[in-house]
Amino acid sequence: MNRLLRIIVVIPAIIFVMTGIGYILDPANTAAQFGMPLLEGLGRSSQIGTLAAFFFTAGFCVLLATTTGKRFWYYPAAMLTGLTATFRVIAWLVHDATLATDQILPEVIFTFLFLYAATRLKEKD
Amino acid sequence: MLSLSLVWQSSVAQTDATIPSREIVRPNVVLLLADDLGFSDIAPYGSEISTPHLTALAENGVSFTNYHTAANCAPARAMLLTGVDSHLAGVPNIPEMIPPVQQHADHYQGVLGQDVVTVATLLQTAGYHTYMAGKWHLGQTPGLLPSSRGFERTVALGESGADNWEQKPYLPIYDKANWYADGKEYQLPEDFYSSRFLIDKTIEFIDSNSASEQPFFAYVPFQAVHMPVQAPQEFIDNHMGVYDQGWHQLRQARLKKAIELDVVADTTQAVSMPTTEDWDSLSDERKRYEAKRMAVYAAMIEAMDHHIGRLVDHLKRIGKYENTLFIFTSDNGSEPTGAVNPTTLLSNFALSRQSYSSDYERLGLKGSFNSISPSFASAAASPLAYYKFFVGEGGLRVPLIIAGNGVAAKGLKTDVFSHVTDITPTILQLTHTQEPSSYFGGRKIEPISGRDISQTLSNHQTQVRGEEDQDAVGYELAGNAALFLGDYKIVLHVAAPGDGQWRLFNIKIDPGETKDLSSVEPKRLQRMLNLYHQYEIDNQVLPITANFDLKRQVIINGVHARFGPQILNFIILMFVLIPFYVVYRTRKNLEARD
Repeated sequence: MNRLLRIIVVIPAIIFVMTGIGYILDPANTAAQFGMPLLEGLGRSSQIGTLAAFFFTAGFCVLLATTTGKRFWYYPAAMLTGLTATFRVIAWLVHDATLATDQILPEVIFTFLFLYAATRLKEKD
Repeated sequence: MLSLSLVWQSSVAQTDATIPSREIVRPNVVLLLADDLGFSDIAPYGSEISTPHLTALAENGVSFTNYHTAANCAPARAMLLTGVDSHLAGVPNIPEMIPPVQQHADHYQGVLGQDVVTVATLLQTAGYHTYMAGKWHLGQTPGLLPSSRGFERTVALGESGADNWEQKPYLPIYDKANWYADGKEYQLPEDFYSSRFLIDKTIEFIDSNSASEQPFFAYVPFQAVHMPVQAPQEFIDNHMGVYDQGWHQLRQARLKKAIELDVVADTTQAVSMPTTEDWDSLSDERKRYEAKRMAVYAAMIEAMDHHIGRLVDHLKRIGKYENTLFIFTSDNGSEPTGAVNPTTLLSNFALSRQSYSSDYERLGLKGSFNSISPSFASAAASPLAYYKFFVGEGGLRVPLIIAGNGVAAKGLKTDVFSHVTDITPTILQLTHTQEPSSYFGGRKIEPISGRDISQTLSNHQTQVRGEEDQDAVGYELAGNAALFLGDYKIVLHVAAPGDGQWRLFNIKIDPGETKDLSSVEPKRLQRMLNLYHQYEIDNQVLPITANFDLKRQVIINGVHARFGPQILNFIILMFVLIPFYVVYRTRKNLEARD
């Protein structure tokens, strides 16, 4: 069961890492997938720097958790995905952003998946 | 009859709206607007539904068989009342459906802009009494209500629709049904039924100035046949059993009748919409239920016609009929968003949250929520393709009857292309009221883009528009787009059941849009595409967001409007409580280890 769970959580982790790589190698197309144009100048620097770091961090944390068996590595990833979903809702409520349900739903699922994995691994440890 | 008409003189205080210098007799104007009425939903257009009073109007005037409006309600109303394209009038879509990214633009608020002037304002300025009873849906703040937009006496519904039997919202996105009388909140009477009430109020308004020599303009935007589709039992009884053969049979029967009546060319064919269910595959119970849904729909139309008859009779009784011009039309095509099967557990649960029932026996009566599904909506638009929200002919082409004073032709059907923006300039022409220039009341306004079609009311058919570039009429709703030029039309539906491809049709010989001519006439297609691009620029059309979905946007906007503050409060509360919970769990874990 835990082996299956590890495989399941590794899938979004790989997607996160690939997205991070995408922000480095092909930022225009990767940003477009998130409804963003590629910015210019300082904006581009911040856009590529922060978003690549975001996705690498989320992905590596999950990979660390599954390879080392240390459950606490799941929590930063869960916080990143959970807070992203939460702040998307706030952006919609307060700042007239689009309610990005197609993005929020997987983020919420990933959050609960990571938290569940953390609980299960704790039992194993 | 002259004694009952106003002999109006230019000495009446005027601004820039008016102004014949000679004495003229000006007609009263009654503008009747049905809601979501399909192209063939009334008898003069091929319907099996008995509408004797609308038939009488048609026999006493001109029926336009190639008249086009908007694909949904508020944009149509904005264009109807101003003669200006919906985008420039501030209502490119209903506010409930505009995504936040577009709401940043001033002209994408979904409320009637202050840089357009309503026909009511122009007529009021020209000395008319102006009345309105019905659905407004062009803004609910004090400066946007009809009492601030040229109407002297009003009773108006603020939302996109409401219950027909009581003061109650029909969708959970609204917390209540807001009715206003003369600009103030209004409580509906206990014995309310929408069509009866709206005609009663219109008669009351007319009679309140019975001693006045001024003519009147009465605008009656009915709730019929917008959902919830509801009607009195006696009208429902008239239609029980009529629809037992289903929507395929009805669509074909109406096509045949429309050809017989010369409403459409005898070359007309009808497509089968992919949203139409196979009637024969339904269970007997479903068939029985669907047939009653449509029977109630027919009853609501018949009830509307009955009350229009009461208004006509009243005008005859008080001697004002002969000097009255009647205009009847619909805001858009038939409504397809009713549930495919409203009797499922989920549907019943959702309806029960609003104190509605979908019970067969009570269908259409007080407390019941009824609608027609896309299948019967397609039949209601027969023989046209698509329906409301779409720019196929079924969404845009609706009945238009102009009859009475000033209409020489009797019983004439004309296939001259006409547009909803033509109504205001036509009313102005027939009431001898001058169109405003680019300024009105000291402020710059959007000029009227519609054309006076009054010359088509004689026995001689006259084209209002030719095939020059300036004759093209464009339209856009949430990315769905169309442009008319001469007998041709290009159409784009960005999402299902469309396919994101521009298509070209000759809507004079093929109003059913069955034969795409885009590969046969690529030059014409390209010319019309260029004209559409120019239309977008001229009318400041904004691009739609990726993956835009009308229904989903209504829900999202509705949740934002009704529950936004509560959701935000909940999130803030969670931010406050979660750290305490984490600290608590950490301590418990540490204690357990110790």
